[in-house]
Amino acid sequence: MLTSTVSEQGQTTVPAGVRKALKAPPGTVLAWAVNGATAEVVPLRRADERRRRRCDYAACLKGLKESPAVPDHLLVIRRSREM
Amino acid sequence: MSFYPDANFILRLCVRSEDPEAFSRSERALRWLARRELPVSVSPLAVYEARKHLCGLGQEVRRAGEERLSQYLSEWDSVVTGWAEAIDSALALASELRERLAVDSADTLHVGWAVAEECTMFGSFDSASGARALAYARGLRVWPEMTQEDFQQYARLKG
Repeated sequence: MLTSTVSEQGQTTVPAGVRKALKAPPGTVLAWAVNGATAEVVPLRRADERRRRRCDYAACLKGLKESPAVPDHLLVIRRSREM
Repeated sequence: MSFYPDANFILRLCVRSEDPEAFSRSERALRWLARRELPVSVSPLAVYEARKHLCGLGQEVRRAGEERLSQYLSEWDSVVTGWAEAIDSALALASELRERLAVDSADTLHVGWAVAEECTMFGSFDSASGARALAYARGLRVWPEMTQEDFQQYARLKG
């Protein structure tokens, strides 16, 4: 079971597992419908309300195959090493 | 259960590498994504880094890469966790592994974000950074599969 602790100030986090299940990214407004000792949490307004599209991966792969290639080193996001 | 791609992973799905081996990994990745075995959780860090890197490429390559990126983002979910949780998670890794970490800040943040997001798989094509080994050390499955180089990094992380 997912848990979170209420702070001295009465604040608590919504566990990531709950946010994932509700598909509630940062900025989502949650409504708490309290019924006795239980509460139902409903995303009132999603931060990201775009309509879901399906990506055509096969078309992307075809496009990638036909696109100009670049030297491999240009595709490495290289960072300085911090040791 | 979800899949977290880092910026290196995303970039190679957007732009074709001249290296046939690297391109064949991208091809495999796209075929795997097409099977939709797991939802993809993409972080603003990964999108920023991929977009920023595309800016450094030729105009035609960049435009086509950005179009493909938009296609992927139309299906992928934005992470539900924010920067603060990702940073806390990355700092917990740094605090635990201390001098053994030797993985740079952004790569550690990618793994930290995947952990905070409770992802089960981590996607990266970069074995040199140590991020793949770090993700593996945190119990995530790594895609493509772990290599000998990754296991060497993993042995160093374990100390």
